Amino acid sequence: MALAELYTTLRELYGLTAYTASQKVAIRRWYAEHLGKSLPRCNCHNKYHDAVIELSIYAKKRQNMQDPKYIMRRGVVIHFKDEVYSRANITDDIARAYLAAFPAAAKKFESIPEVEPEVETEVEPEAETEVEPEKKGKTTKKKK
Amino acid sequence: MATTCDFLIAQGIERDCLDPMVQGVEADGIIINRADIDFANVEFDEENPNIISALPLLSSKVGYTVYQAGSQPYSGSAKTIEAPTATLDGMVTSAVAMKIPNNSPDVSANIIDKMLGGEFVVILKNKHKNLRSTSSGFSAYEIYGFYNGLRLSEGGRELYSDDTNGGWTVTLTETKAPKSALFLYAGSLTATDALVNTLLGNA
Repeated sequence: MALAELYTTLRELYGLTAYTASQKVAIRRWYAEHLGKSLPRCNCHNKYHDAVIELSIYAKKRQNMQDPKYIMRRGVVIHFKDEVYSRANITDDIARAYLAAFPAAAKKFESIPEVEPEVETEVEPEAETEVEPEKKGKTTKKKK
Repeated sequence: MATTCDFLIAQGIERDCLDPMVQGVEADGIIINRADIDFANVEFDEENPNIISALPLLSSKVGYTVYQAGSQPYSGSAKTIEAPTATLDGMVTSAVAMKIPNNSPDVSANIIDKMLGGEFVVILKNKHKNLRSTSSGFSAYEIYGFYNGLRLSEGGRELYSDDTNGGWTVTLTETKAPKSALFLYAGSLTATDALVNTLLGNA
């Protein structure tokens, strides 16, 4: 669920005084997914309501930053333009620029949006390989 | 691939007056399920093979905080060296001891029972960080259990223990590691702090 959608759902839940079993399951799941921790197993009266508030704050904050499309892996940082970036502070623009400069660093990312297919210009494969031997400066070996 | 290992000392054995040795570790550490580490993408420092510069976790996996109160956190943790034999090089055993000052169905189900059969990696913060070194802070984070995993070697719960107030104690041990120590260092202490923060699921 996108953060904007989650935030809207949470606002609806915020207005309720009690939650159904399925709503409680959903709140538990979002809590673990987004905040990375389990909901306390106490019999606290406001446990789910408090979780909804906590999640709402998180979702609102993150929503303003927009759902990031480039997500770095946990346990990894990158050094780029004299700054250190991790999944906590990298923006899509920085990630895009970094990957343009270091394409091999894609493994540092958990999520990279699919690149929109570029318009391909048809190149005849023979045109590149059919060079007369005597005109070649150096021979190119075909990869086996 | 190097097939002949180099066993030649490359540095003098002397004290460092700028960064004198300090005993012990900080109270907060990290424990990770070893199976959650994305070993294929672990990166080692280009110059020092005992430094890991990236310790990525598999997608949606996180590490967990360990906090040990008291003046000697992780007391009982130690490294021992197995001498080389006629056929094998020396090996290192690392033990990480910790108290679990709690007892509940969740603690039993989520921690103790998992430790009965699991393999773990623990990262502890040395008090001796080498802040004056050129690579400032590169001794701060030390990784235990990277090679063979830390497994439960000792543990229990003494109901009237003054040390734990009736909580659990466990010792996780890695045996036969081929290196004396592995450090986590991402180029600076600030960068390493940021890296560790992501391991904990704070981002």
